Amino acid sequence: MEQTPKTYTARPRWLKVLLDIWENRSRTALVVASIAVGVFAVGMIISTYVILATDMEESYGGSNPANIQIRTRPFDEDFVKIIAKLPGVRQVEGRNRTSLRLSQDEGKTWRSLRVIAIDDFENSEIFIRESVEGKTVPADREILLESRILEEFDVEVGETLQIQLSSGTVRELEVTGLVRDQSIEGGPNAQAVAYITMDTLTWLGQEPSFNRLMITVEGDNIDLANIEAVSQIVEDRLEESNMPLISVINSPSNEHPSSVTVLAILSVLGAMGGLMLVLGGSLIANTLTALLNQQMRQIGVMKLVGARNLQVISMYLVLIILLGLISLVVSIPLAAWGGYQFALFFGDLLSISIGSFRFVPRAIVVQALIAIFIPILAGIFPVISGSRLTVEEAISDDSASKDGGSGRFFEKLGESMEWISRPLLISIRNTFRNVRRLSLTLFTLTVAGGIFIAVFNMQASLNNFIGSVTGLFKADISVSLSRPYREIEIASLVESIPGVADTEMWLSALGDTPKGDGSDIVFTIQAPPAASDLIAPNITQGRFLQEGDTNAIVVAETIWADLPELKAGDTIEMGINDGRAEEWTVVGIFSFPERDADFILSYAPYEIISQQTNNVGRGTVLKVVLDEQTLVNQERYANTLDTLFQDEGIRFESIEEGMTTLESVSEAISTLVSFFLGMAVLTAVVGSIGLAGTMSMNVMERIREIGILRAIGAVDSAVMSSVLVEGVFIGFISWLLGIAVCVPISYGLLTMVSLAITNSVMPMVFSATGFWLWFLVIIGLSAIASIIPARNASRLTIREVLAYE
Amino acid sequence: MQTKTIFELKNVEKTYVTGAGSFPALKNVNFTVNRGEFLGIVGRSGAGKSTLMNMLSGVSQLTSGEVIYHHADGQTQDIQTLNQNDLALWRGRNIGIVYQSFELMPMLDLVNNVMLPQDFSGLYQSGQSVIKALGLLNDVEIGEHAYKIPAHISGGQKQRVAIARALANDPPVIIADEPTGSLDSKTSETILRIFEELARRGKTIIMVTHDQSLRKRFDRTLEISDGEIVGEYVKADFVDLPDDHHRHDDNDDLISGEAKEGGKDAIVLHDVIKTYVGPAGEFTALKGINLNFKYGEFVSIVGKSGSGKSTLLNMLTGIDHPTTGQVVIGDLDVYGMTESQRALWRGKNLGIVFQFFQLLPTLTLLENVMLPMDYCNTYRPRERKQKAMELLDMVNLTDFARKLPSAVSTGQQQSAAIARALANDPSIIVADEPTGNLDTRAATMIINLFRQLSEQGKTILIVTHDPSLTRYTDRTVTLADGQVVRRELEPELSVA
Repeated sequence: MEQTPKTYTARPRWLKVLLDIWENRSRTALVVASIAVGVFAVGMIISTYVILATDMEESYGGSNPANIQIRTRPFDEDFVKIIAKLPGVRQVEGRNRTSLRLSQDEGKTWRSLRVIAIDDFENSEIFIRESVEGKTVPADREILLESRILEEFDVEVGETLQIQLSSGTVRELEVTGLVRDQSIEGGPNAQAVAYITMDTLTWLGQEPSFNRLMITVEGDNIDLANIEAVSQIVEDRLEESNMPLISVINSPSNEHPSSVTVLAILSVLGAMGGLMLVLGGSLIANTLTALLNQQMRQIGVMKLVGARNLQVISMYLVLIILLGLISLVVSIPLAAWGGYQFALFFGDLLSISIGSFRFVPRAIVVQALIAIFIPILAGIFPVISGSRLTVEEAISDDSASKDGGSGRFFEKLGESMEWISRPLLISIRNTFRNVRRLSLTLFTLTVAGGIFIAVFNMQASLNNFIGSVTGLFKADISVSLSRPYREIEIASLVESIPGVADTEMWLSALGDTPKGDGSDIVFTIQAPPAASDLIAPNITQGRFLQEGDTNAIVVAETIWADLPELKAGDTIEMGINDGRAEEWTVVGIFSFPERDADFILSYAPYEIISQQTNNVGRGTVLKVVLDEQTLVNQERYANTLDTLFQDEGIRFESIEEGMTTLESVSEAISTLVSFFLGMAVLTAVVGSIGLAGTMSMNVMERIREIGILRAIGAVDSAVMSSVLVEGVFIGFISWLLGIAVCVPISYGLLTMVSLAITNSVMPMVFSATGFWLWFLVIIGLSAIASIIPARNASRLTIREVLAYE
Repeated sequence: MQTKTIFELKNVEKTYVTGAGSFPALKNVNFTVNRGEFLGIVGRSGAGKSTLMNMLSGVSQLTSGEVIYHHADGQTQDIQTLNQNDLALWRGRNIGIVYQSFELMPMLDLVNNVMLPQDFSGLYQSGQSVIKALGLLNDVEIGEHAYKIPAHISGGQKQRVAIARALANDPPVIIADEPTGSLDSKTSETILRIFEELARRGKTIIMVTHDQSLRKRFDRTLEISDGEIVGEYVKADFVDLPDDHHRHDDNDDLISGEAKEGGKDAIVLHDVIKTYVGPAGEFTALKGINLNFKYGEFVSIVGKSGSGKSTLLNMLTGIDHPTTGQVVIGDLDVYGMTESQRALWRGKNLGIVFQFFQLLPTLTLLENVMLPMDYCNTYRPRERKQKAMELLDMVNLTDFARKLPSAVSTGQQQSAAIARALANDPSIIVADEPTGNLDTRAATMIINLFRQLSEQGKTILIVTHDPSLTRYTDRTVTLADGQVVRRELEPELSVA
């Protein structure tokens, strides 16, 4: 039967390219997956980056954030009106921030809750709260909750909460709404916050006064200098009214409270994007090389029927570009979705309102460039060398001559280690049969391993850092007194409060030592009693103060900015509070996460400083230790002390909860660690796809050999273990290399993160967890990636294998 | 004016350099090919036929000499002076090449396979090329399958497509390397007739084959042996030869091979039938084979390509399942075991020798020989090396024991493969075309080795398409189109 001529959509050679993609769908899927995983990772990271950066600015700016937040003694609406009239002040609102005890189970268990009382919700225009559910304006005896409370408590709108007053009376408030407040710092350690009216506050037995001023400035609200100038005017006014300044926070309208964390995350995201690109690139190169090796014979046949080099090159370049485009189509929506989910995750952690789902054009452009150019870059070498093969080479079955010269080495290895069985030795030797592909696979897995292990090193370093910082803030509350008070007087007063476990009185002084250029270096000296348990800085040289120390001082590393040569054991000339200079021995140096390098903290014995400043038995800093060491409890007792000291006429400059300084740092760190773990999982996924691909290709190439092994007596398990050992061996080598590579990656990432968080480089701590976990992951992945091809290989009959072309 | 000569080979030499030293594949070859003739180049495997074909098509580089192509307009071209690109273009327009293994693009339908040379040579015209391809496929009587892919047609049909593709650019010359090598006798005949018809239409056909019986089909035959032209014949020299291709169709000749008297049966085949079912339809490769082989017997199984030899070998070695029937080796039903059990059994009881040696390229000869001992756990680990050295010594490879296969000659590789087959001291050795890739000297050495082993009591079965080997064996089983036939070629020099 004669056939009628058919119209084809493409010329034969392009049809071959299209059919190579379509007919080999499982191979195409493997290649597309290896390209797409890299493109996806980079696209996702860029999407997260862009969404976080823009939405943070928009949502924070959109809430009309306060430029100046001042905490002071209770004041009333009249004082707010006075502040409103000051020059540079655009808007001002008074708020009361306090803490209450809350129960959801009829008083069986009680938890602390931070409560903000606002006088006029309708007209409140600073830190505008967005509705999540229900009302945004509570009526009297109603309570609104900040939405992140749900992470801590299981609360629903409409539920009734019991609130315990200081008198012990229990009152009930109905939850009428969930809101989101941009003034609340996010992070895993963020506190639950609720909102009530001033009348409700009174009903709950609290004074109807404010203790926080929220101010926006006239003029440029993102210019910190302008904000600080207005802040100074407000502070002066407070001083005039004899109002102590407990704390002041000045921040531009575009600077989210979590911006330090976000900055760190974004910079690490960028670095991760780069690493993923390298990882994806090597994976692509690997897969394409294998693909082209499979096509060698066909290239030979095409050249035999007249194809020239350029024609062959263009065919395979088009094939590569098409595969890249398919990967792009797959990865764009996935990356957009993944990026959005990541942004939502961080938005939630950091209290950034993330807008609706969207595609990020910048991410798509970068993805397109990667999806097209990386495969071309990766494939161009094998394509050109493939096209240059002579017909004879391309269609030759002689594979022996193509094998590398690793035989001698293994022969010797085999001789020297007779306990290694030959089949095992073959598997190990097979690993090196295609050195180029092995290098690429190892590169991919090594980078993935390096990133994975580095993440755990970072986690350990950050935790170590938190540990060392915690040593500086062991007291729950620190009160800076306006003048030296007698220790016995303050201690008896404070220790009588139920819930206070202990107190210590320290002295604070200024020390100065000549710099060498005529100017002086000024230290802030904290003088704890020699036996104090409330200070344990992270000593990097020498030791901390001991009982019996005389003129001994321990200084922060920040001194090295002025005295780079200083080391433990050196002596310096130092005067206390402008007094006569004496010789002091620097007994130790400690690390201190101070962003401001001009601030030099030091510790000297109370016993000596109190003598030199004539303050024996007195102190200027009160350190308080509480029974319950939570931030909310610390805030409650800070309020209690505030009231107590006012009542007793004890003058003070500030009351600080021990954890507040630490809070933002540890929040940032916890967030980063969870983020890094996500990245580690992603790299493991990329690595495992790479390994699975390599193992499949290896088995395809070894198919004839597997037939021979079966012909000479290898049973299923022997064939399977031969493939398995090869995969696991590759995994093992990559693990060893990963250990080496993780060192620079760990240092790079830690430097980036610690500079963003603390403006100084944290000391590196290597964690065994990462090494061993990656060992288990990579060996497990290698085994899994090899098992499927190994099973397939063991199932083939010899006839199929030897007939395989 | 057209010249009579189309190819001219002058002092052509080709030497391959391998780890084992240099190996001359062609030695001072001189001949011409005339326009429009059907030229046969015949010789044993390893004689240098394919190398010669690669020289003509410019696929392989000469060591010295010239290959001159005479264009129709009288211009000449030394093809060895062309660069790869010009060579590809020259080949695309002037030479059509047909390989034993067809070499079709598996993804493309037949029409596109045929159009491919036009596309690469810049002669492709949308529509016109499809019509031309259909015409060519009709010429080789495969037009009805034009829109199928190669996997869906039979081997003979694929070879016709390869011929149609070779004709796509209307080249003056067709070079065919063993084009009937893997086809049954009937299909081979069709292919030969197509070539004869093409020659009649003025095409120059150069066909390389090991099949001496085809000499009468060629206008002229060059015989090649160990890289040299050793004879030149014209058609008239062979007119009295019987037509070998039709003889197997005579069913009266069908009988089972008979084992030598006495002795215990090593292998028994009962009514073994093997049918392959593929997209191209059902194909019965073995049609009820009944055979038995005694211990210590040296038997050759001969037949043309496509006669069912390899399938029979696969049945004997437990490599492939019979569709029906039984294979008993020793007292064991080979197909009563699982694939894995069979692998272990095979490793211990059968030694297999392949045409292409199939040594593992990354292992030394010594390690290759030790490998079956490792897999079958025979001998104590410390004894394996000594045992392997003894075997290598037996095949004169003691000095090469620590070399990789690529560093020794093909004859030595096959010797090593035999040593490996003997590793577990099996009672039966099965060899598939063991001399197929060797020169005459190496082939003789290997056959002598088998002879010795047979004398030591091993059962040796060699599968070959080379009838000349049968004179060394105790008995010959001849296969044709999947059946055992009694042939005149009884052992001439059989040793009782």
